[in-house]
Amino acid sequence: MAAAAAEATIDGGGKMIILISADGKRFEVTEAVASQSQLISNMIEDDCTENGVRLPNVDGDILTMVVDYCNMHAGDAAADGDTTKASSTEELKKFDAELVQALENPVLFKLILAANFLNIKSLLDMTCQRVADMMSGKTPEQMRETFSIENDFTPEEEAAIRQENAWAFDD
Amino acid sequence: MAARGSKKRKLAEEDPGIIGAGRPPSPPSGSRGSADWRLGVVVVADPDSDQGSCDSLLSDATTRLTQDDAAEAASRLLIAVVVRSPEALLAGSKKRKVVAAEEGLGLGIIGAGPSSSPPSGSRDSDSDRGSRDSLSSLLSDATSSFFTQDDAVDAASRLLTAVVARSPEAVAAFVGRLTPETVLRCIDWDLIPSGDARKSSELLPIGVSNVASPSVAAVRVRAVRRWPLRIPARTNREWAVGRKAMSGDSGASRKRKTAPGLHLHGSAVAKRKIPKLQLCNLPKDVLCSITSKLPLKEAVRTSVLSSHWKRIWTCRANLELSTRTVYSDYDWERCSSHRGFNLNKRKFIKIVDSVLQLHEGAGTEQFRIRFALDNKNSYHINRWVKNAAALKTKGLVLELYSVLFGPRIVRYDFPLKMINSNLCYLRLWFASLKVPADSRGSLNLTKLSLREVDITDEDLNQFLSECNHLREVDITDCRMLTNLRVPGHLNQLKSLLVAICPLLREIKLSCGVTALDYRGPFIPLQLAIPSQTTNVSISLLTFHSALGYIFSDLPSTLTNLETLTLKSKQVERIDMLSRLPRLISLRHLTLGLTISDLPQRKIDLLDFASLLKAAPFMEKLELHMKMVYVHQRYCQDDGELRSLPRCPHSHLSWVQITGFFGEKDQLELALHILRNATFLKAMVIETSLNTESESVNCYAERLSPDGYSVALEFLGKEDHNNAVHMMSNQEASEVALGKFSQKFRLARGLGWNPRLPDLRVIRSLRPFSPPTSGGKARNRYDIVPQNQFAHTRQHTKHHSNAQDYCITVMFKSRNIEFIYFQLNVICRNSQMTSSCSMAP
Repeated sequence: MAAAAAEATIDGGGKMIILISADGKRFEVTEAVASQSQLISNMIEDDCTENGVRLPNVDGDILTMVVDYCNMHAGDAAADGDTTKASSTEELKKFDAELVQALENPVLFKLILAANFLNIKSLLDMTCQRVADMMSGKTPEQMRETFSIENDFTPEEEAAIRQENAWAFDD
Repeated sequence: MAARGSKKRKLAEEDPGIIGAGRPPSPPSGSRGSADWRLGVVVVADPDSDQGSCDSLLSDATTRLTQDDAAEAASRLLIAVVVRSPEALLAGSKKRKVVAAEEGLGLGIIGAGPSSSPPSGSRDSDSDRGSRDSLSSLLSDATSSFFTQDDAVDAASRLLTAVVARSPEAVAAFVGRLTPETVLRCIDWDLIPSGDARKSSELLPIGVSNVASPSVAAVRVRAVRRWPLRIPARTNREWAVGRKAMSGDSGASRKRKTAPGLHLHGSAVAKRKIPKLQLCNLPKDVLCSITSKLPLKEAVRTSVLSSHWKRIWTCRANLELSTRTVYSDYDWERCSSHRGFNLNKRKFIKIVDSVLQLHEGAGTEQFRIRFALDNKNSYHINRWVKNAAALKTKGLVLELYSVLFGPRIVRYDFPLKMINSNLCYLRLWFASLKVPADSRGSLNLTKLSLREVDITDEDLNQFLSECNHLREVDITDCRMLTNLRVPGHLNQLKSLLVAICPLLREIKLSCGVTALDYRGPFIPLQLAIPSQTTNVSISLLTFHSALGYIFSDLPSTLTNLETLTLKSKQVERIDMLSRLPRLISLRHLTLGLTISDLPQRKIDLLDFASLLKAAPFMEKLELHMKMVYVHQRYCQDDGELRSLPRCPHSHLSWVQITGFFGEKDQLELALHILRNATFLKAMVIETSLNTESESVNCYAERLSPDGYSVALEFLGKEDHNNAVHMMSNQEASEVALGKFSQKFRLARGLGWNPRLPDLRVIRSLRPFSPPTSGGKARNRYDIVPQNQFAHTRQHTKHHSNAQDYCITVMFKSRNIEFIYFQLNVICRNSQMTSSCSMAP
């Protein structure tokens, strides 16, 4: 019992939850921080987190980012200001911008997948917005180049689609 | 007790292995699959039933399997084992101890869970080792040609038996504390072909129904929602590889450590490295939400990227079709001519049709049309409304308007019968609304917004009484209304806005509204008793004394009033001190006073000092003053400053006075507040006018530094708490500039792209007379840098009901020192367009 209970430590009223990434890295976060993920929040509700939450499709380095993000954004959720800093909105914005700005595409996509899997709506929104920003203002050719999208249309097919939505291409 | 607890925990770890690995044998076809899957759980859930019956059930189950099914099941099983514990596989392969393959498989599954976590002391070491050894041998067996289909059937049946036989209690204990969430988590969806996944996630709650918690339904929903995103395309391909390895490999591979197919899959999943994750690999719903964040036009353009992208944009949640989202530069240019506009209209209708035709998203959040359309186009609009209803649209926004006026322009007749129960939000402009006498009487609308809508009192009353769930109602510029009655059963109503309904004579609320906002001429308000209204905002467009309104016209039933905002034009002083009401709940009072009692000043602002008495718990007071005459700074000739008897106020902590020109009564009022508010933390005195108010009317030439110097001279002396903050003209104009450029950013965000030269100081803000209605066209110019005032693009636009601001701005540029512009910022319903012309 003791061995098992050691993982779920009670710390100043805020229960700790262990997140285990695909490559076995362990992250200890408060319940308030973890609950930003709807998936984990549901698991907490169903009381099946005491052995740690395995996240078999989230890499350690991605989970580091996710945990950082959740720690920063736990401000409102956490009632006791013990483990969370009261971060101002501006700081948060800056942090968010820095988090996604410098990411390489594959890492950004992995972060999106993780946010999607963990069901963290704000993170998913932010990362999707980042991709949308990257797409915005680009011609289809530039988009293909940026995101390595292979054009599998024949020229005729592509012309047909352009014709179908001609109004969107007339600028 | 402790030992029992730890065992339970251990099993919780272990048994996901069983479920995870045991899950795949359900063959992909019909009810038989469901029977088998249920069998697995039902059997393990009933440990007390004797072994024989278990066996018979199992053999029954397996005989119903076809050979193909069984072979596939077994192969999936193997892969599942490998996936769950690659470590076990490695450990096992080192020892190379050959045990009976089939049994090993069973044990292997038992061992699968814990082997990936640190082994605990209480674990039976023999079986642990056994499981690993047998697993390795099994794996080599599996890849060899010896492993026939018959073997697979046998293996599957023995496997289930082994699982149950090994520790029925453990299984039962596990199942007892199993939650659907855990089950879902443990199933490796990657291993289940997509067709199966949907089915199995539906079956799942049946399977675990004997242990299910109330959240089963939710889990099912989640599972069904989640499966497409967790079943990557690789699944089937890798299956093929695995199967090929299984059937095609030669017997010589019997001693090989792992099969190539298995190895491939095992390592791929173990390391979770999908080579070069690309945008296209993201789940479809993520791509949808990415394209939803793009403007419509750009989203549509993604359709030519590749066949995968062709339809992604069609499931966006919000469909917004307006001039802004669909017009091209060319359309903008030609829309100034009548013919061009008609062509644009035809084009717009075609675009809406094509977008709606391609759109796929059921449960669309919002469908929005904003275009100059009237009843002549009702055929098209009706079709769109019908389409939107078919898409289960939650929000329908029809922002119609007209560029022409006259009897021939008939407002669109909105077909109320077409809206269905999915609709939560309806916004209607420039339409007429008739409620059929035989209407069904149950709509789920929570938000209703009507603007320029022809609706009679009776129809509105009936319409409101049909919408029981209304939370927000906004009625603006509905010129047929004379009497507004809000029925009592709308008890969810939180906010009500009534603005500019010129014929309205009375508002009668029979339900408790939290926030009430009225803009228009003075009319009586009747509120239900006792009123729950906490926020009231009233903008009187007619001349009415603010104090008179507060003291005699504000309904006495407003006992819970906490925030009051009152704007009115003052012409005369009224004798209101006869009776003082007690606004005991009032915390925050905002007064917008336009003082226009020309030619001779009669109003005494010191009268407002009585508000301190009337609202003893007031914490925040804002006074925004505006005087439409040449004001005079207080000087000795005006006589001694009056002072009222002392009445300490112990709650007022924050006061803001704008439009402080240093007039005598202004100064007296400020001094009175400063002396009596004992807990005053801040008093902000601004000589400029409040720029946040709706109608920015500033009198630039009259903005003299007088107010500042008066405040400095007289208020400074009384300021014992160091509470007074004075804002000079310069500071105020900086602030105004900030707000102004914010508005510009807004305008730019909305599609207008002015290229402004450096904006330095707002010199003056002058009132702008509203355009005479009647469709006078106005030219719009863009500003070009370096003061080349070319007419880059001319748009003829008409704005009815637009609130027009004219702001004279001084630009500083490189070549010429100062140039005055007149910037006409035309605000219409949050969309802002701007025009610019040179001032004389």
